[in-house]
Amino acid sequence: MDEPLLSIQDLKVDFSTNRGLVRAIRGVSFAIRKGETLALVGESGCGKSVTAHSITRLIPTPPGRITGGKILFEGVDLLQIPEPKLRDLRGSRISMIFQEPMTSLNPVFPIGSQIMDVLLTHTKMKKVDARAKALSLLELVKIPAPERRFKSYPHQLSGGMRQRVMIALALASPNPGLMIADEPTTALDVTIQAQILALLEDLKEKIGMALLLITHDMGVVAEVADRVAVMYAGRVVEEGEVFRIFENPSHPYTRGLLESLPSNPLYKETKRLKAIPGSVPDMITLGEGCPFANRCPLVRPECTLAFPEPTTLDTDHKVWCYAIEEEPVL
Amino acid sequence: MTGLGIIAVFAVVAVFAPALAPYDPLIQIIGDRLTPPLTDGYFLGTDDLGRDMLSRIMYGTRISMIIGVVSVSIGSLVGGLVGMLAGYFGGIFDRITMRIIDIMLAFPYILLTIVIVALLGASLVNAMIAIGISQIPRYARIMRGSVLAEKESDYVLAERSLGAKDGELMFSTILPNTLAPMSVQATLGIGEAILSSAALSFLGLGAQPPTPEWGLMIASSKEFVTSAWWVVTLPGVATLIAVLGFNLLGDGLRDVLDPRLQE
Amino acid sequence: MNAHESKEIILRTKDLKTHFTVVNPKDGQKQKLYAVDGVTLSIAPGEILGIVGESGCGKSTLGRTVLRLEERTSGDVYFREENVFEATPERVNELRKHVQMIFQDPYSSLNPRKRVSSLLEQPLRLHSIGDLSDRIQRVEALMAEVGLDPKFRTRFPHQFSGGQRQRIGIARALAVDPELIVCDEAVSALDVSVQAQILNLLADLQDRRNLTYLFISHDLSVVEFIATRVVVMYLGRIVEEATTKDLMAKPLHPYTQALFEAYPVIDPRKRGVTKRIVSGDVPSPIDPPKGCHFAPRCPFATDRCREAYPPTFEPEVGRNVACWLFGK
Repeated sequence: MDEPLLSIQDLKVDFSTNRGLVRAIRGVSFAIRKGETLALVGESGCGKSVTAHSITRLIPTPPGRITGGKILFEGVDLLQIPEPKLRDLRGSRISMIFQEPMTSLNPVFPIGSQIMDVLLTHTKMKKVDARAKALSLLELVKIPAPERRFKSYPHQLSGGMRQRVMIALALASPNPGLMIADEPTTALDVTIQAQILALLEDLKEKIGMALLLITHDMGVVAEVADRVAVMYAGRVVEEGEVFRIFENPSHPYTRGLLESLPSNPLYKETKRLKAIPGSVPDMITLGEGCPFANRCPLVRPECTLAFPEPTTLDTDHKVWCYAIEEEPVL
Repeated sequence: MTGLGIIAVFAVVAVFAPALAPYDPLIQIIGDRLTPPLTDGYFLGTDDLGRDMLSRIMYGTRISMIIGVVSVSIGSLVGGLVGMLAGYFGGIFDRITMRIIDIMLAFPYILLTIVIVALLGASLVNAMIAIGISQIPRYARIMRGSVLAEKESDYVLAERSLGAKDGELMFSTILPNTLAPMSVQATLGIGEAILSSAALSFLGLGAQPPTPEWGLMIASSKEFVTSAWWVVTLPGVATLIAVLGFNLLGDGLRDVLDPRLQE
Repeated sequence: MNAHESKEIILRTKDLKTHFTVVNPKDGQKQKLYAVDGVTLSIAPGEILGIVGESGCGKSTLGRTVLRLEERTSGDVYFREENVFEATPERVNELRKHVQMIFQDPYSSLNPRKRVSSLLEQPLRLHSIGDLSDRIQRVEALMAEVGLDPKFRTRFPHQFSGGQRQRIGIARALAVDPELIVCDEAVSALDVSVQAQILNLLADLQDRRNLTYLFISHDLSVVEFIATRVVVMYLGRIVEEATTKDLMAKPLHPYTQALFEAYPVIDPRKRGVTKRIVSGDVPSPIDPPKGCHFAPRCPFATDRCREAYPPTFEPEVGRNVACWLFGK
């Protein structure tokens, strides 16, 4: 059964700002299969968060606008279906967790009742059953003393706890197929991050849900991803299985990114990193062609003319770059 | 933008009143009293003493602009200074001054201005001072709030670590970053000052006859409201437009300054 | 400090404590926040001392206290054997020429209303370095030194990218020709590729100007890369100290071990090795546990650990650990 759970095809998103039109996403395509974890990785401004929010049409529509592409979830184009049907899907089959749990949880309601709310909205449960299920969810996300915490308010919990509650909320849907996690551990301490990542892995196995993980942290990607899509300035530049991406990064940006990491074994003895020169382009003035061209060590004339078509290096490894030799498809 | 336009017109009129006004606002031509607008060369008519309404309103613009600017200057300079010192140094000084501010705010604004004018004596100058004093609390509060917020910023800490002393930190580092909310409030404050001065004059506590101050003009012609409506209404309309202009300008300023701060 | 025999020391602290009084929003009660709770360390010239720990461990407060940007509660700080907290305000100002700080957030550490030229000129003016025309030249030289085009000196901070703003912050710190720079999470708010550029810049500057760094960070991989010696902090105190090599090869303190385990390894082949993930939350410095602060989460905690805070032991030369496991 090879039909992907989620398939994003040529997504384009614009934002109008008072400095001009920002073409934030310029044709992004990737897919996630049932039960797999895809990490969407890139630095700030690359558009990974916008992509995630576009899936459930959570882009604020006055400044933002989805101008093209398809987002197929189990065959249905999420960009075309009417709002009520989308709302049904949101929170039942597709759930999201965000970076700042404090701002995504309602501060005036106890966490237990917030979970119950989701259950009561999306299922026909009775209150008594919803309460029991909410408790079991708190246990599932390993919140200590869940009975007591049920009545706690978000501000009474630590950052790590709140993120667990967010995950519980996301799992409250009866049949979560896909969870979208936008930088879920960025605001957390490293020991807490480890706990949350372990939890997500654990849940994935138990429930069999797919996870779209948005992050800028290559360490997190290495720990939990099955596949990786690397984004730069509104485009996906490389996509493939996690082992291949780390062992054989093909796009010059992916390579540059991995070489920028101080923990890279290249730097056992030296004190200088191989840094990518320059900085990310201005998304308003950026033209056609590959956005990485002005910083790329392998740049050639065709790079500034048009963004390259994908080259398939292997059954699952795609690169969008003119400088890559084609390898025979295995 | 509309606000700016309105205020610009008023400003020009205020400055060039002597050149623009067709008649002397104080000359009484009793024979022409209570002429309706657009009659006999009087564009806005005359009042009960035969004085040209247009000229009086134009000269009144001057007075209103001055009142607005002077009162708000007094209020914002004194209030701003107090707020800055209270916010920056905190401690006992902060607590005492804020108590005093709270007490001032507990009085209804108009009552406060009336009391101060009563103490100083009824005149236009004293009205300006009174209004200025009554506005002190709001500027003090705003400045203090801004200072408290900015004081904890990294850039203030950075400049302190470079060796900047308190004086420089207050006025050269923090102050420019507090101007946004202060200037919005000052603009709105001018509108309010004009209104307050009109109210005081109406009560006989501000401008004295024969000064062509709008509030006074309304007060002295109350009785003609049905028989010669233009004598009473036109100064009121002028006040309305002026205050509206300042309010729009203030709102516009707030919109312009805020999003950039959120960048 | 038993790990350092007579060696030239540029900065040292002795049992430094910085406590704050906070008001509990729930009941209005005053509470003490033990941000820095007895820190003794020393830095030799030319060294890069890394201070690593999670939120609430006090590393940032330590950085600020050392610069006297926070008042100490007790203990001492010595810059070249001169007591920083007993110095007169004039002398403190003098000392500011020798020790400077680079801040974490490039978006809030520069005054948004000042142009770059004004930002960089300020330290020169405050310390009467050169006259007006001298200063203009120095500003341009500083900008060039950190990799910024001097022609941008009339711009405002919001017109620069995060990495460029951080360069401005670095230039500002360099303006007074300091000997020691405290880098308070100086690269933590930057993207990975920009972080690499700034780390290179810091290394270049150290070589060129003979600088000493106190490098505060929560990012182990960065500290491992740049520091020569590392101090691990937990809840206001130092739990372990060693050279970078020693610490990375063999972390001794259970917290250090937990920290290392928690760190994601940037190699997908290494996953699946079961990690020992420490449970519980990072504690609050308002209510530290009695006894060893890490005991509630420590897999090796004994009753003695919960009773009394361990002294610092020196199991090997040059290594300090505050843990009963290493007691004699």
